[in-house]
Amino acid sequence: MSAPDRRSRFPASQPRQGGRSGDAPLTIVERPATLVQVNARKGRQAELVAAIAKTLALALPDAGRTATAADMAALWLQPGSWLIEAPAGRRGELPGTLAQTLNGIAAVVDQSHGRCVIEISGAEARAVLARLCRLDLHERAFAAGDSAATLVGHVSCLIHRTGGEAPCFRLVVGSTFAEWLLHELTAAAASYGWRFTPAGEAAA
Amino acid sequence: MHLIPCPYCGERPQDEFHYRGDATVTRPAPDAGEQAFYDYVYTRANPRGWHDEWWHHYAGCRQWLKVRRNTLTHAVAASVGPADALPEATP
Repeated sequence: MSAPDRRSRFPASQPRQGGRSGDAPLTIVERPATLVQVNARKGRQAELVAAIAKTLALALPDAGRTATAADMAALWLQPGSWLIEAPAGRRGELPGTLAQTLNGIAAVVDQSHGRCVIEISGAEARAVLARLCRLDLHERAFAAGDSAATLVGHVSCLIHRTGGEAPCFRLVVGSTFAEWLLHELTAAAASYGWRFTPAGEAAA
Repeated sequence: MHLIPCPYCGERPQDEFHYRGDATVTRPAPDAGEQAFYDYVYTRANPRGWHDEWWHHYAGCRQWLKVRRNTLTHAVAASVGPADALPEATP
């Protein structure tokens, strides 16, 4: 079992800020996480749903939704396939545990290094995303717990809205695209101002 | 922006999809002969009006879809998953 990896996906992993100084800057935080993709094997989806409910107390959600339980979340990816998000501290243990539990039922792929979670919040978070993403992210169309795989700044992203009053979105993006996406986000947020906190700097 | 309804994700912008060809052709039997395979690979009808097409939702759910699209108006009458059949009649 390896130690949890808290290294940032951003080479110059220093907190940064920029854009116009305003009242409502965009807050961009890299969230270290354990990400495990589970793909049901042919005809075994019901067993996968039951096994995840039993071992992680997560009810795998329908298309376009997320499910949360304690400190974990499940995001729908495509028919028969979900992404499990857990705290970074479980990186060394969770993928192996799931692979053992779901042996024969689902393919289990550790994506903790392959994907990166970027959380953006602030009063203008929706306005910034509207410059990069074609989906309607208004509350009535994209409520808390909704998720969608789409293009953000020409990059394939899994975007989901977390619970709570203030607009707060999480983007799951390929690690090698993370820096490009950050650049797009900061450029789009320049008129409001932005603050970026890489992993390791954020409260663990 | 042209919207394509995905049976899994709902209406999505067209730039999340790739066009993947005519969904009406079926592979001939292995012994069907050279002409049958030539037609299968190259010969297309290029219809004006309703047409069944393969579209790949590459930036969304990554599924291949069968979409019935009007080549004249771009209207989409139906879309189904790769293993499902499009409805017989078009409204």
